[in-house]
Amino acid sequence: MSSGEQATSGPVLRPVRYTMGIGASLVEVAGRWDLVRALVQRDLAVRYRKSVLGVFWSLLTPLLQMAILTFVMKYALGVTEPNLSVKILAGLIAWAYFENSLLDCADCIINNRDLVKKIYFPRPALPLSVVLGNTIHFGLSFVVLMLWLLLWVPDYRPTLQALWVLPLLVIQGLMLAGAGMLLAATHTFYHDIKFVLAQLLRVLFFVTPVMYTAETIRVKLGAAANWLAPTYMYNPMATIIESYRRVLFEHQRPEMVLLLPVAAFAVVIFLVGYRVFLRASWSFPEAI
Amino acid sequence: MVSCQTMAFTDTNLAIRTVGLTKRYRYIHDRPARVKDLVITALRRRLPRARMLKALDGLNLKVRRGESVGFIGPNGSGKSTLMALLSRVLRPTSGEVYVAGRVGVLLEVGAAFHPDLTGEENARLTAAIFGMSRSEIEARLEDIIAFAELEEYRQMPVRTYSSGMLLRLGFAAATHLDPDILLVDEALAVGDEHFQRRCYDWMEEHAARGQTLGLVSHDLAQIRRICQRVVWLEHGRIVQDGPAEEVVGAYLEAEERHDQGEEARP
Repeated sequence: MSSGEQATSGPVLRPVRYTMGIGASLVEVAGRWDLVRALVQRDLAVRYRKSVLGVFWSLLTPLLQMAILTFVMKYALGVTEPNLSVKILAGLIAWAYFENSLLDCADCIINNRDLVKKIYFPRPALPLSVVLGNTIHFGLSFVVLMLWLLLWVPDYRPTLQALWVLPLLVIQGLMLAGAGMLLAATHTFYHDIKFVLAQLLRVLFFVTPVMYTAETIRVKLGAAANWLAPTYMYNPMATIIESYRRVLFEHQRPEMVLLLPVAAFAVVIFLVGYRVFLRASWSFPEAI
Repeated sequence: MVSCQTMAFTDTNLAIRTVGLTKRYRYIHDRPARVKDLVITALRRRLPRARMLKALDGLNLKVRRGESVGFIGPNGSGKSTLMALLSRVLRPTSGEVYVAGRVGVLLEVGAAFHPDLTGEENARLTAAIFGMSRSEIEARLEDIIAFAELEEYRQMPVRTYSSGMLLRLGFAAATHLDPDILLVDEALAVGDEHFQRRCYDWMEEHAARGQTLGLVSHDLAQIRRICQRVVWLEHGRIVQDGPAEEVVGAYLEAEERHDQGEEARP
């Protein structure tokens, strides 16, 4: 290549890269941050716009659920744990973050059918923006939780341990992004996935300490808890929700024996989900 | 001694180059559509051999920078597949594609639009999807709205827009990306004459600025008007490639012959 050939200026002919690895794809998505931002803005605007009260409806839902579930636990099942309502609310918002992210991710490709069929943009931006939007919603719900906490437990003072919420959020977000991409990739081809997911989530809701705490079952099950409790915590969402409660209400750092495997799981599922999604993404335009 | 391939890379006059570009589709019915079908085929231990449809067959194409090239051919000749491969929506089965600079695609009427968002929000979203940065969008938003002639309606949700208004907004958002290579796939079939004229004007300006245009259309008059060069595709292969008048003329002749052949049959 001699310099004499560069007579005219302008962009140079470059090979089009069709496939890329996770690293290159993440760099590409980061370079298109304004796109991710625009997609998040769209999702949140659509979610909150249609009604007069907008965002308040979606923040009210966990409060109503909390009221019902606390009533049932306390008076029908006789659970006597201090500040049960606050613990249930914390469980509910972490659960809603989990559930909504997965359900929204599952059909994010199909919902953006026209875009995916017509124009190139980094496909992972779709599920990632779904998880990001739900993270923002989790943040808003967290403010509601804090307000309720101040109202219900006036002498509550958070300690530095509460800062653990941020790493917990990162772990949960990473896990949701990975699982979400896995679901987005498979649901686009097999629409049964979302039905299975909805049923699975219903079961998971009850075997995860959302409307009760791990302490509750330890007390209720007695001797059986000795062998059941460790197995029970294999559920990553159980560990995550219990950790939120621990750092916020018991002012202790999370139990690392439980949290570290969950963090490792989150990283693995993120990498696996991302890879599967990238592989599947070239078939999206033909499948939808 | 420089190899042939390196020469191709350094050819500064080219905007697009494809080498042996091939795209095969699997027939959609051959893919198990539901988990049930997947399980059944797996249990039978006999996956049906995928039948493939060749949409593009070893296409070699060179487009110089600043050229306006029209692509014609019957339905299923591979025109739209070619556009999708150039714009990275699809991945080739084999072969390579080289492009110089940013590739823009003119979408059909607001494919990126969300009905509940306002015109302005949709313009922002579309521009972001096309690859504009936030500062670029803010700098050009007024131009986009003005070009679409939607000043009074910018704060209204686009579900209240007429199809003409949607088209104008989509076109305005797409064209303000200012791509080095613009691909248009029959997006102008709709829209009134006034708007079509403005689209032509814009495309001519685009070409005059030394940017490259690829236009797929069944409207031969449109092709003749905008493109100097026409590529006639059939069954994923190039039948003829040359000056617009010549190729369009040959294509019309062939079509006429084909039609007469049909009529002659009892």
